[in-house]
Amino acid sequence: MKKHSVWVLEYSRSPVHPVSGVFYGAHNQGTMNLPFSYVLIKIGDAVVLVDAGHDAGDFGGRIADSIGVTGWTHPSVVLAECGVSPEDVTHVILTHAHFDHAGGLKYFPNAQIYMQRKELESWMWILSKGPRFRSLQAGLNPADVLYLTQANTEGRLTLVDGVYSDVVPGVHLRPAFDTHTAGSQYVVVETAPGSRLVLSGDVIYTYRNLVGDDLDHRQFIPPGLANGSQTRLIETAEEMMSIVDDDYRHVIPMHEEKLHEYYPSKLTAGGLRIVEIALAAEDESRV
Amino acid sequence: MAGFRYLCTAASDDSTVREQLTQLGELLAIVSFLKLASDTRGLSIQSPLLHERAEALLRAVSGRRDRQWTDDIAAHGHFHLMSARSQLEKALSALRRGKLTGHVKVMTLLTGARSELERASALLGAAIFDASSCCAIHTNVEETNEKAFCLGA
Repeated sequence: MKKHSVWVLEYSRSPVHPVSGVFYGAHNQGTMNLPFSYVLIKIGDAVVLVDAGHDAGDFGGRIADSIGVTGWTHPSVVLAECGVSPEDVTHVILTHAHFDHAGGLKYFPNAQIYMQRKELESWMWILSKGPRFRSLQAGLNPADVLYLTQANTEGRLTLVDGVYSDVVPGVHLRPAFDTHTAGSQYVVVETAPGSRLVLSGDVIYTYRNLVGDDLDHRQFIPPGLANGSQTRLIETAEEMMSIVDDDYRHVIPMHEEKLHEYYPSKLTAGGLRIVEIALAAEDESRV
Repeated sequence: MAGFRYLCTAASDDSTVREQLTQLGELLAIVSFLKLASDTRGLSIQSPLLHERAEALLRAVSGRRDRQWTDDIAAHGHFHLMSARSQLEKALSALRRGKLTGHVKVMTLLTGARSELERASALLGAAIFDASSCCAIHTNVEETNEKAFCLGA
């Protein structure tokens, strides 16, 4: 019997994301659709959000506009599809600090925020290195750093060192250092005894990153965008696969457009997709 | 470079003020991180290097204070940038004083600087940080071009 409900909630999308950012070595392949999502987990009274999206009314919105992101929808509208308000969110887990994952934190004023200590330290190191390292700063919104600082003064920031078990019962954090970013992490959800989901963050963008182009001859294709190394991305993908007993469908990539081919889903009135990954025994379906 | 002369046109006003916006965005991140580090035990950071970088950014922006602007929007944006710079400089100075620093004061200064950067950003239609290497739009695939690396005669 499942204890957790898990939904992937699309909040905006880019119809023109460079393919080369998603698949290493995919030169000259133009652009692709890329949904932007966060993941909602409910267990008992706990309401956990994995990543917070970006803020369209802020600097992050200006960047999003400039790179073709459309359809941004306020978290109050997105979460309402699952009967939750932003104020109900008790925990936000940041897989990493890029603007499209950390920029929406201000909408969740009651949440305790969890991120890897190394993620913060690495951004500080990059900034200390000056303009020659500017390309490594890409995607970090200074306003998000200020928000994290504010949350820290309010006692709402928890810095994690590596593996962290039971943020709430059955929800665990695993480090993915030197992959997409230096201090990335991913989330393991034990939905029932012996049944696990992996929420991959940007270590895996799509299923193609996990299995390649031929299910009979699988190979990892790491994402193109990495401050860390392609080798570490592949090693971490292998680690994820071992957690889900090699069933790639139990790894949940937040930028995967075809999740609805594997799990029940619906389109909202605004044209954004909600995918129901797991449903707790006491919960009602939202799709 | 010998013979180079900087022309103070509206176009160069625009690029100058946009660069200042980016530099002050970077400074906001650095001073925010320094504040976070001062409140948090066990963070391994290069504090002297961050302070050094913050000083370099302050110098880089202040060096253009006496500029005569030919573009009204750039001038208006510059006004907000200088206000942000002033607040970031005060926050940095307060952080250097360590334990005497009230966190409310520093957070007020940082929040004020952020608002000024937001105003400048809106005026200039530019962001305070870069995402070109992670998500820039490429609507056309790269073309084969034998002269792509034409270095000139």
